[in-house]
Amino acid sequence: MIYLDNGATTYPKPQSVLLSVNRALREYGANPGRSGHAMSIKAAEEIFNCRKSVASLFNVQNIENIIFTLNCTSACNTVLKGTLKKGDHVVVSCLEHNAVMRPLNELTKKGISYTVANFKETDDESIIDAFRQAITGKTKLIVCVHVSNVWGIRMPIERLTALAHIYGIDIMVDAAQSAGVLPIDVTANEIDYLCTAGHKSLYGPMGTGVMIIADSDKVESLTQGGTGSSSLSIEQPSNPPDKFESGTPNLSGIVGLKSGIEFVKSRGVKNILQKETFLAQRLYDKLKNVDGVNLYTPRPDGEKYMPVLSFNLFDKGSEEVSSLLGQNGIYTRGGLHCAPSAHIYMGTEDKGTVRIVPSAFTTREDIDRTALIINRLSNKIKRDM
Amino acid sequence: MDKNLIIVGSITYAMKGKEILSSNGILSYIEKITDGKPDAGCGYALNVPNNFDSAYGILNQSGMKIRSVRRGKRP
Repeated sequence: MIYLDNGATTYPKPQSVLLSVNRALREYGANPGRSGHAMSIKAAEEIFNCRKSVASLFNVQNIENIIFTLNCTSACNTVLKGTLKKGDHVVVSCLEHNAVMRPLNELTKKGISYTVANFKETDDESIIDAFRQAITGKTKLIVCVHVSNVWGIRMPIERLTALAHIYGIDIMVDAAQSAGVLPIDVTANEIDYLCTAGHKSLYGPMGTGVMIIADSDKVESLTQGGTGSSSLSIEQPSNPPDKFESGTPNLSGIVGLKSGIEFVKSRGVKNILQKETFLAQRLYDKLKNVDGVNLYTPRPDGEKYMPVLSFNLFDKGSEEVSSLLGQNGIYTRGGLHCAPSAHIYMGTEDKGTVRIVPSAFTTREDIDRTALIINRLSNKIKRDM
Repeated sequence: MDKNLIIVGSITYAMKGKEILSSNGILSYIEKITDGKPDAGCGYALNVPNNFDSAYGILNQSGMKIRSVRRGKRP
């Protein structure tokens, strides 16, 4: 089996992640931050240690502003629904995932509006200009994906943050596809809200996500409940992280996430990106010579085009091609990747694409075998025509 | 002898406070407050056996949200 669906979630996880999750379940299975016994304190300490790892990776100054969520989607929902009020306007890119578009669509029913910053060319100037044109006097928030989960296009979030702040607007960055592959400095770039998944290129278990907020007073909590603090009061705590972390946390997941982050740090974000870019380039170079393969983006370069490769084969549906690859032991994802906006941008909304994303564990042999299988599929389709 | 406690509320602040004090050479222990007194409201505290005043000053200066303090009986 060759797993190339790392855009959905990374597999395999590092050994250290498996061991730490196992250890968490065996040795400190108490509810963290609830009781006073040693195991509860130890469990809470492990969660605190994960916050420290996140703070180190993303250069976060106030550790309490690091919030653990179920996934990137719940982080996005918290920011959008916790900050926007009736009459507010939002500017989003034309590449956003449904984790942004669906809650935003829901919010339009409550008097919030949004404008899509459409651009044709993907150079930074064109993108910045598109966002600037979309800003109005009521714009409260800019939302932008860091790296498109379909096309691998890297958005200039540093410049977008500066643009937003010039206009007194906050920015939310969806880093689901970029955290662990691109360096992200929340403090230096003054990112107001960073949302990411813990289970993609941070190599944590599924069921983990991270939300980093600059000013927690701007965000209302969506879920209220027990936090293990101030229990006498039925008011939700006003201080982070408790404000946003009601209920029992996913302790083993968070412990695993810490190990995943430490794995990323030990390998080096730049080294991981370099390796994945090399592999994506190798596959791209092989596929462009295969009859019927339609590659929609330029060769991945690790600068503008990250190692996320989407393609189609002749006029076959992408789900069908993905299924055929799966039957040959190559695991990819076909369809719209929960990002119809991105497919509308490229004109592939009718059949989607087959998406291939390598990980730190993908090998050159995996890529060569994948190219070979796609070549065979191409030949078979040609024969059957 | 009663303990010297700096009551901070959530476990996260207790952990953060412990690290700040440790980096300043002050030993502290995290304790769950269980007596239900109004100043605690169910939460966590830092038990600082020595250098309590320094500890309080350091945490205050660091911006730590301190809910209250309880001074133990001096020997």
